[in-house]
Amino acid sequence: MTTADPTTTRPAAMDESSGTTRTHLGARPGGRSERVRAAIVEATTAELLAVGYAHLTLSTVAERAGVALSTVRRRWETKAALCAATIVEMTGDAVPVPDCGTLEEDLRSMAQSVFEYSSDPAIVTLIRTTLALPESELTEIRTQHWIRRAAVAREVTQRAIARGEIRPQRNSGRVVELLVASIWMRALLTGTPLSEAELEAFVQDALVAARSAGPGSLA
Amino acid sequence: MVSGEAPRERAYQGVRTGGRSERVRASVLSAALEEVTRVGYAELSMAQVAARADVALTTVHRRWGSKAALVTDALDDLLADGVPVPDLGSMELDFHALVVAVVAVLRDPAMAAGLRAAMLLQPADLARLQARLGEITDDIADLVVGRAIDRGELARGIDRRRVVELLLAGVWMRSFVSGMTVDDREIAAFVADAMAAARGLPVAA
Repeated sequence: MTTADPTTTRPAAMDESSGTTRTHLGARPGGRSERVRAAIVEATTAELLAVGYAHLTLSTVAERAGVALSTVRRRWETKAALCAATIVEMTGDAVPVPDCGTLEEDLRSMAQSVFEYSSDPAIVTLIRTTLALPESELTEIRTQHWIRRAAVAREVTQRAIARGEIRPQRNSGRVVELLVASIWMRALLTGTPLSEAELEAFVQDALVAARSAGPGSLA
Repeated sequence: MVSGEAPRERAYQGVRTGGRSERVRASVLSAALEEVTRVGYAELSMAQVAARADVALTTVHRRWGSKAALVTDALDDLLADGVPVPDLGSMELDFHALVVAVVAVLRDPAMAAGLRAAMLLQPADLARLQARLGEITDDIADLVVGRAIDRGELARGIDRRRVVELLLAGVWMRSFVSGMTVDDREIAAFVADAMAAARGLPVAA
Protein backbone atom coordinates (compact mmCIF):
# COMPACT_ATOMS: atom_id res chain seq x y z
CA MET A 1 0.00 0.00 0.00
CA THR A 2 1.23 3.40 -0.83
CA THR A 3 -0.79 5.79 1.31
CA ALA A 4 2.02 6.66 3.64
CA ASP A 5 1.47 10.39 3.84
CA PRO A 6 0.24 11.00 7.38
CA THR A 7 -1.15 14.39 6.42
CA THR A 8 -4.03 12.62 4.68
CA THR A 9 -5.33 11.60 8.10
CA ARG A 10 -6.49 15.18 8.56
CA PRO A 11 -10.22 15.77 8.36
CA ALA A 12 -9.72 17.67 5.13
CA ALA A 13 -9.38 14.30 3.45
CA MET A 14 -13.05 13.74 4.23
CA ASP A 15 -13.81 15.96 1.28
CA GLU A 16 -12.93 13.11 -1.01
CA SER A 17 -16.11 11.37 -1.94
CA SER A 18 -14.35 8.27 -3.21
CA GLY A 19 -16.05 6.27 -0.53
CA THR A 20 -15.67 2.87 -2.09
CA THR A 21 -12.87 3.37 -4.57
CA ARG A 22 -9.93 1.09 -4.04
CA THR A 23 -6.37 1.67 -5.03
CA HIS A 24 -4.84 -1.63 -5.89
CA LEU A 25 -1.76 -0.40 -7.64
CA GLY A 26 -3.11 -1.26 -11.05
CA ALA A 27 -4.10 -4.83 -10.30
CA ARG A 28 -6.86 -5.84 -12.69
CA PRO A 29 -9.86 -7.45 -11.06
CA GLY A 30 -10.05 -11.10 -12.03
CA GLY A 31 -6.48 -11.28 -13.32
CA ARG A 32 -3.80 -13.54 -11.91
CA SER A 33 -2.31 -10.67 -10.00
CA GLU A 34 -5.65 -10.01 -8.35
CA ARG A 35 -6.09 -13.69 -7.48
CA VAL A 36 -2.69 -13.79 -5.83
CA ARG A 37 -3.53 -10.66 -3.93
CA ALA A 38 -6.85 -12.11 -2.76
CA ALA A 39 -5.13 -15.32 -1.63
CA ILE A 40 -2.56 -13.37 0.38
CA VAL A 41 -5.23 -11.23 2.01
CA GLU A 42 -7.27 -14.29 2.88
CA ALA A 43 -4.22 -16.02 4.34
CA THR A 44 -3.35 -12.93 6.36
CA THR A 45 -6.86 -12.79 7.79
CA ALA A 46 -6.67 -16.45 8.76
CA GLU A 47 -3.25 -16.01 10.35
CA LEU A 48 -4.30 -12.89 12.25
CA LEU A 49 -7.26 -14.75 13.70
CA ALA A 50 -5.24 -17.89 14.40
CA VAL A 51 -2.02 -16.57 15.92
CA GLY A 52 -2.48 -12.81 16.29
CA TYR A 53 -0.36 -9.97 15.03
CA ALA A 54 2.58 -10.69 17.30
CA HIS A 55 3.20 -14.14 15.88
CA LEU A 56 2.22 -13.52 12.30
CA THR A 57 5.10 -13.63 9.84
CA LEU A 58 5.26 -12.95 6.12
CA SER A 59 6.56 -16.51 5.63
CA THR A 60 3.60 -18.19 7.31
CA VAL A 61 1.26 -16.00 5.28
CA ALA A 62 3.07 -16.92 2.07
CA GLU A 63 2.91 -20.60 2.98
CA ARG A 64 -0.80 -20.47 3.77
CA ALA A 65 -1.51 -18.54 0.56
CA GLY A 66 0.55 -20.98 -1.51
CA VAL A 67 2.78 -18.27 -2.95
CA ALA A 68 6.49 -17.51 -2.70
CA LEU A 69 7.66 -15.32 0.15
CA SER A 70 9.16 -12.96 -2.42
CA THR A 71 5.69 -12.50 -3.95
CA VAL A 72 4.35 -11.28 -0.62
CA ARG A 73 7.43 -9.11 -0.02
CA ARG A 74 7.16 -7.46 -3.42
CA ARG A 75 3.68 -6.19 -2.58
CA TRP A 76 4.04 -5.53 1.12
CA GLU A 77 7.42 -4.87 2.62
CA THR A 78 6.34 -5.05 6.22
CA LYS A 79 3.96 -7.02 8.37
CA ALA A 80 2.25 -3.75 9.34
CA ALA A 81 1.62 -2.81 5.72
CA LEU A 82 0.29 -6.28 4.94
CA CYS A 83 -2.08 -6.27 7.89
CA ALA A 84 -3.20 -2.74 7.06
CA ALA A 85 -4.06 -3.78 3.52
CA THR A 86 -5.85 -6.84 4.83
CA ILE A 87 -8.10 -4.99 7.20
CA VAL A 88 -8.96 -2.48 4.50
CA GLU A 89 -9.76 -5.30 2.12
CA MET A 90 -11.80 -7.20 4.68
CA THR A 91 -13.85 -4.20 5.67
CA GLY A 92 -14.03 -2.25 2.43
CA ASP A 93 -17.57 -3.11 1.43
CA ALA A 94 -18.99 -3.99 4.80
CA VAL A 95 -20.63 -0.64 5.31
CA PRO A 96 -22.03 0.53 1.95
CA VAL A 97 -23.08 4.13 1.40
CA PRO A 98 -26.82 4.14 1.97
CA ASP A 99 -29.09 6.28 -0.20
CA CYS A 100 -32.57 5.62 1.12
CA GLY A 101 -34.11 9.02 0.40
CA THR A 102 -34.17 10.44 3.92
CA LEU A 103 -31.48 11.21 6.46
CA GLU A 104 -33.31 9.15 9.05
CA GLU A 105 -33.35 6.05 6.84
CA ASP A 106 -29.74 6.56 5.82
CA LEU A 107 -28.66 6.85 9.45
CA ARG A 108 -30.70 3.79 10.38
CA SER A 109 -29.15 1.82 7.56
CA MET A 110 -25.64 2.83 8.62
CA ALA A 111 -26.35 2.05 12.25
CA GLN A 112 -27.58 -1.40 11.30
CA SER A 113 -24.54 -2.09 9.10
CA VAL A 114 -22.05 -0.91 11.70
CA PHE A 115 -23.89 -2.85 14.41
CA GLU A 116 -23.76 -6.09 12.42
CA TYR A 117 -20.20 -5.48 11.51
CA SER A 118 -19.19 -4.69 15.12
CA SER A 119 -20.94 -7.88 16.25
CA ASP A 120 -18.82 -10.10 14.01
CA PRO A 121 -16.10 -11.63 16.22
CA ALA A 122 -13.63 -11.98 13.33
CA ILE A 123 -14.01 -8.34 12.32
CA VAL A 124 -13.73 -7.16 15.92
CA THR A 125 -10.57 -9.24 16.38
CA LEU A 126 -9.03 -7.75 13.25
CA ILE A 127 -9.85 -4.22 14.35
CA ARG A 128 -8.60 -4.82 17.89
CA THR A 129 -5.40 -6.18 16.41
CA THR A 130 -4.83 -3.05 14.39
CA LEU A 131 -5.74 -0.78 17.31
CA ALA A 132 -3.21 -2.56 19.51
CA LEU A 133 -0.31 -1.70 17.21
CA PRO A 134 2.07 1.00 18.44
CA GLU A 135 1.30 4.48 17.12
CA SER A 136 3.95 4.46 14.41
CA GLU A 137 2.50 1.41 12.67
CA LEU A 138 -1.06 2.70 12.79
CA THR A 139 -0.89 5.53 10.33
CA GLU A 140 -1.52 3.53 7.22
CA ILE A 141 -4.45 1.63 8.65
CA ARG A 142 -6.11 4.78 9.88
CA THR A 143 -5.53 6.58 6.62
CA GLN A 144 -7.09 3.94 4.47
CA HIS A 145 -9.78 2.51 6.64
CA TRP A 146 -11.34 5.28 8.72
CA ILE A 147 -10.94 8.19 6.35
CA ARG A 148 -13.00 6.22 3.88
CA ARG A 149 -15.69 5.90 6.52
CA ALA A 150 -15.59 9.62 7.11
CA ALA A 151 -16.08 10.20 3.39
CA VAL A 152 -19.15 7.96 3.47
CA ALA A 153 -20.49 9.95 6.39
CA ARG A 154 -20.13 13.16 4.47
CA GLU A 155 -21.98 11.84 1.43
CA VAL A 156 -24.96 11.10 3.65
CA THR A 157 -25.06 14.57 5.19
CA GLN A 158 -24.49 16.23 1.82
CA ARG A 159 -27.55 14.53 0.38
CA ALA A 160 -29.59 15.53 3.43
CA ILE A 161 -28.53 19.14 2.86
CA ALA A 162 -29.45 18.90 -0.83
CA ARG A 163 -32.92 17.66 0.18
CA GLY A 164 -33.26 20.55 2.63
CA GLU A 165 -33.44 18.26 5.67
CA ILE A 166 -30.58 19.89 7.52
CA ARG A 167 -28.82 23.22 7.30
CA PRO A 168 -25.91 23.69 4.89
CA GLN A 169 -23.54 24.37 7.80
CA ARG A 170 -24.08 20.74 8.90
CA ASN A 171 -21.91 19.74 5.97
CA SER A 172 -19.73 17.49 8.08
CA GLY A 173 -19.43 13.86 8.93
CA ARG A 174 -19.67 14.66 12.62
CA VAL A 175 -23.30 13.70 13.09
CA VAL A 176 -22.67 10.31 11.56
CA GLU A 177 -19.49 10.01 13.60
CA LEU A 178 -21.56 10.52 16.75
CA LEU A 179 -23.73 7.58 15.75
CA VAL A 180 -20.97 5.29 14.55
CA ALA A 181 -18.67 6.16 17.46
CA SER A 182 -21.34 5.26 20.01
CA ILE A 183 -21.66 1.80 18.48
CA TRP A 184 -17.92 1.22 18.22
CA MET A 185 -17.24 2.52 21.72
CA ARG A 186 -19.53 -0.20 23.06
CA ALA A 187 -18.01 -2.92 20.91
CA LEU A 188 -14.36 -2.02 21.38
CA LEU A 189 -14.04 -0.19 24.66
CA THR A 190 -16.80 -0.35 27.25
CA GLY A 191 -18.31 -3.71 26.31
CA THR A 192 -21.77 -2.47 27.28
CA PRO A 193 -24.27 -4.61 25.34
CA LEU A 194 -26.26 -2.83 22.66
CA SER A 195 -29.91 -3.75 22.03
CA GLU A 196 -31.91 -3.08 18.87
CA ALA A 197 -34.00 -0.57 20.82
CA GLU A 198 -30.86 1.32 21.87
CA LEU A 199 -29.56 1.25 18.34
CA GLU A 200 -32.76 2.98 17.20
CA ALA A 201 -32.37 5.46 20.06
CA PHE A 202 -28.84 6.19 18.80
CA VAL A 203 -30.30 6.97 15.38
CA GLN A 204 -32.78 9.39 16.93
CA ASP A 205 -30.01 11.05 18.96
CA ALA A 206 -27.98 11.59 15.80
CA LEU A 207 -31.02 12.99 14.00
CA VAL A 208 -31.70 15.46 16.80
CA ALA A 209 -28.07 16.57 16.68
CA ALA A 210 -28.17 16.85 12.87
CA ARG A 211 -31.27 19.03 12.95
CA SER A 212 -29.92 21.27 15.71
CA ALA A 213 -28.39 24.61 14.87
CA GLY A 214 -24.87 23.36 15.40
CA PRO A 215 -21.89 24.93 17.10
CA GLY A 216 -21.83 28.64 17.72
CA SER A 217 -25.59 29.00 17.57
CA LEU A 218 -26.21 28.01 21.15
CA ALA A 219 -26.21 30.91 23.52
CA MET B 1 -10.48 8.93 40.46
CA VAL B 2 -13.02 11.64 40.58
CA SER B 3 -12.14 14.78 42.48
CA GLY B 4 -14.22 15.59 45.51
CA GLU B 5 -14.54 11.98 46.61
CA ALA B 6 -12.65 9.92 49.12
CA PRO B 7 -9.91 7.89 47.44
CA ARG B 8 -11.26 4.58 46.25
CA GLU B 9 -9.93 1.66 48.22
CA ARG B 10 -7.66 -0.64 46.33
CA ALA B 11 -7.49 -4.34 46.86
CA TYR B 12 -3.84 -5.33 46.89
CA GLN B 13 -4.18 -8.77 48.38
CA GLY B 14 -3.42 -7.51 51.86
CA VAL B 15 -0.39 -5.45 50.93
CA ARG B 16 -0.06 -2.25 52.93
CA THR B 17 0.35 0.94 50.98
CA GLY B 18 3.82 2.37 51.45
CA GLY B 19 5.57 -0.90 52.32
CA ARG B 20 8.41 -2.39 50.35
CA SER B 21 6.02 -4.69 48.59
CA GLU B 22 3.94 -1.72 47.48
CA ARG B 23 7.04 0.11 46.25
CA VAL B 24 7.97 -2.91 44.15
CA ARG B 25 4.46 -3.06 42.79
CA ALA B 26 4.44 0.61 41.88
CA SER B 27 7.81 0.46 40.16
CA VAL B 28 6.94 -2.69 38.19
CA LEU B 29 3.62 -1.24 37.01
CA SER B 30 5.27 2.00 36.06
CA ALA B 31 7.96 0.08 34.17
CA ALA B 32 5.27 -1.98 32.45
CA LEU B 33 3.59 1.18 31.19
CA GLU B 34 6.88 2.61 29.97
CA GLU B 35 7.71 -0.60 28.16
CA VAL B 36 4.29 -1.01 26.58
CA THR B 37 4.49 2.61 25.45
CA ARG B 38 7.89 1.95 23.93
CA VAL B 39 7.33 -1.38 22.19
CA GLY B 40 3.58 -2.11 22.23
CA TYR B 41 1.83 -5.08 23.78
CA ALA B 42 2.87 -7.65 21.20
CA GLU B 43 6.56 -7.04 21.86
CA LEU B 44 6.24 -6.46 25.60
CA SER B 45 8.53 -8.75 27.56
CA MET B 46 8.32 -9.38 31.30
CA ALA B 47 12.11 -9.64 31.44
CA GLN B 48 12.43 -6.10 30.06
CA VAL B 49 9.87 -4.85 32.56
CA ALA B 50 11.76 -6.50 35.42
CA ALA B 51 15.04 -5.00 34.21
CA ARG B 52 13.55 -1.53 33.92
CA ALA B 53 11.97 -1.79 37.38
CA ASP B 54 15.24 -3.19 38.75
CA VAL B 55 13.56 -6.20 40.33
CA ALA B 56 14.09 -9.93 39.75
CA LEU B 57 12.13 -11.49 36.91
CA THR B 58 10.90 -14.15 39.35
CA THR B 59 9.31 -11.39 41.45
CA VAL B 60 7.37 -10.14 38.44
CA HIS B 61 6.32 -13.67 37.48
CA ARG B 62 5.28 -14.52 41.02
CA ARG B 63 3.04 -11.48 41.39
CA TRP B 64 1.55 -11.21 37.93
CA GLY B 65 1.97 -14.51 36.16
CA SER B 66 1.41 -13.08 32.69
CA LYS B 67 1.94 -9.90 30.80
CA ALA B 68 -1.83 -9.64 30.41
CA ALA B 69 -2.23 -9.51 34.20
CA LEU B 70 0.59 -7.00 34.42
CA VAL B 71 -0.84 -4.67 31.80
CA THR B 72 -4.34 -4.99 33.25
CA ASP B 73 -3.09 -3.94 36.70
CA ALA B 74 -1.05 -1.07 35.28
CA LEU B 75 -3.93 0.28 33.22
CA ASP B 76 -6.39 -0.20 36.07
CA ASP B 77 -4.19 1.99 38.27
CA LEU B 78 -3.83 4.58 35.54
CA LEU B 79 -7.59 4.69 34.97
CA ALA B 80 -8.19 4.95 38.71
CA ASP B 81 -6.35 8.26 38.60
CA GLY B 82 -8.95 9.13 36.03
CA VAL B 83 -10.28 12.32 34.65
CA PRO B 84 -10.77 15.57 36.55
CA VAL B 85 -14.48 16.31 36.77
CA PRO B 86 -15.29 19.98 36.19
CA ASP B 87 -17.84 22.04 38.12
CA LEU B 88 -17.97 25.36 36.29
CA GLY B 89 -21.59 26.38 36.73
CA SER B 90 -23.11 25.52 33.35
CA MET B 91 -23.66 22.44 31.26
CA GLU B 92 -21.81 23.88 28.30
CA LEU B 93 -18.73 24.85 30.31
CA ASP B 94 -18.68 21.54 32.18
CA PHE B 95 -19.17 19.45 29.05
CA HIS B 96 -16.51 21.39 27.20
CA ALA B 97 -13.99 21.07 30.03
CA LEU B 98 -14.71 17.37 30.33
CA VAL B 99 -14.15 16.71 26.63
CA VAL B 100 -10.92 18.74 26.70
CA ALA B 101 -9.75 16.70 29.70
CA VAL B 102 -10.60 13.39 28.06
CA VAL B 103 -8.84 14.36 24.84
CA ALA B 104 -5.77 15.21 26.93
CA VAL B 105 -5.94 11.88 28.77
CA LEU B 106 -6.23 10.00 25.47
CA ARG B 107 -3.19 11.87 24.18
CA ASP B 108 -1.14 10.81 27.17
CA PRO B 109 1.35 8.30 25.71
CA ALA B 110 1.11 5.85 28.62
CA MET B 111 -2.70 5.92 28.61
CA ALA B 112 -2.84 5.54 24.84
CA ALA B 113 -0.40 2.63 24.92
CA GLY B 114 -2.24 1.01 27.82
CA LEU B 115 -5.59 1.26 26.07
CA ARG B 116 -4.07 -0.11 22.88
CA ALA B 117 -2.65 -3.04 24.81
CA ALA B 118 -6.08 -3.62 26.35
CA MET B 119 -7.43 -4.32 22.87
CA LEU B 120 -5.61 -7.68 22.97
CA LEU B 121 -6.62 -8.75 26.47
CA GLN B 122 -8.68 -11.86 27.04
CA PRO B 123 -12.28 -11.44 28.25
CA ALA B 124 -11.58 -11.79 32.01
CA ASP B 125 -8.93 -9.07 32.13
CA LEU B 126 -10.86 -6.90 29.71
CA ALA B 127 -13.99 -7.21 31.87
CA ARG B 128 -12.06 -5.82 34.85
CA LEU B 129 -10.99 -2.76 32.87
CA GLN B 130 -14.47 -2.31 31.47
CA ALA B 131 -15.88 -2.36 35.00
CA ARG B 132 -13.40 0.39 35.89
CA LEU B 133 -14.49 2.41 32.84
CA GLY B 134 -18.09 1.87 33.89
CA GLU B 135 -17.33 3.31 37.34
CA ILE B 136 -15.66 6.33 35.80
CA THR B 137 -18.61 6.85 33.45
CA ASP B 138 -21.05 6.60 36.35
CA ASP B 139 -19.05 9.11 38.41
CA ILE B 140 -19.11 11.58 35.52
CA ALA B 141 -22.79 10.92 34.88
CA ASP B 142 -23.70 11.48 38.52
CA LEU B 143 -21.65 14.64 38.94
CA VAL B 144 -21.63 16.47 35.62
CA VAL B 145 -24.94 15.33 34.15
CA GLY B 146 -26.52 15.33 37.60
CA ARG B 147 -25.62 18.97 38.10
CA ALA B 148 -26.98 19.90 34.65
CA ILE B 149 -30.26 18.23 35.66
CA ASP B 150 -30.26 20.03 39.03
CA ARG B 151 -29.80 23.35 37.22
CA GLY B 152 -32.74 22.52 34.96
CA GLU B 153 -30.58 22.32 31.83
CA LEU B 154 -31.50 18.69 31.16
CA ALA B 155 -34.64 16.76 32.00
CA ARG B 156 -34.83 14.60 35.10
CA GLY B 157 -35.24 10.94 34.20
CA ILE B 158 -32.99 10.86 31.13
CA ASP B 159 -30.32 8.18 30.76
CA ARG B 160 -27.33 9.94 32.34
CA ARG B 161 -24.82 7.38 31.11
CA ARG B 162 -25.99 7.94 27.55
CA VAL B 163 -25.25 11.64 27.89
CA VAL B 164 -21.64 10.81 28.81
CA GLU B 165 -21.48 8.45 25.86
CA LEU B 166 -22.81 11.14 23.51
CA LEU B 167 -20.23 13.53 24.83
CA LEU B 168 -17.19 11.28 24.62
CA ALA B 169 -17.81 8.75 21.82
CA GLY B 170 -16.89 11.09 18.96
CA VAL B 171 -13.63 12.32 20.45
CA TRP B 172 -12.69 8.82 21.59
CA MET B 173 -13.24 7.58 18.05
CA ARG B 174 -11.13 10.39 16.61
CA SER B 175 -8.32 10.10 19.14
CA PHE B 176 -8.12 6.37 19.60
CA VAL B 177 -9.55 4.74 16.50
CA SER B 178 -9.42 6.91 13.42
CA GLY B 179 -6.43 9.03 14.42
CA MET B 180 -8.09 12.10 12.94
CA THR B 181 -7.33 15.33 14.68
CA VAL B 182 -9.69 16.99 17.14
CA ASP B 183 -9.01 20.70 17.33
CA ASP B 184 -10.66 23.24 19.63
CA ARG B 185 -13.28 24.17 17.06
CA GLU B 186 -14.28 20.55 16.63
CA ILE B 187 -14.37 19.93 20.35
CA ALA B 188 -16.87 22.80 20.59
CA ALA B 189 -18.87 21.28 17.73
CA PHE B 190 -18.94 17.81 19.33
CA VAL B 191 -20.08 19.41 22.60
CA ALA B 192 -22.85 21.35 20.82
CA ASP B 193 -24.07 18.16 19.10
CA ALA B 194 -23.99 16.20 22.36
CA MET B 195 -25.95 18.93 24.15
CA ALA B 196 -28.57 19.01 21.40
CA ALA B 197 -28.93 15.24 21.53
CA ALA B 198 -28.98 15.22 25.35
CA ARG B 199 -31.81 17.76 25.37
CA GLY B 200 -33.76 15.49 23.04
CA LEU B 201 -33.30 12.31 25.08
CA PRO B 202 -36.50 10.58 26.12
CA VAL B 203 -37.49 10.72 29.79
CA ALA B 204 -38.01 7.39 31.49
CA ALA B 205 -41.61 6.89 32.64
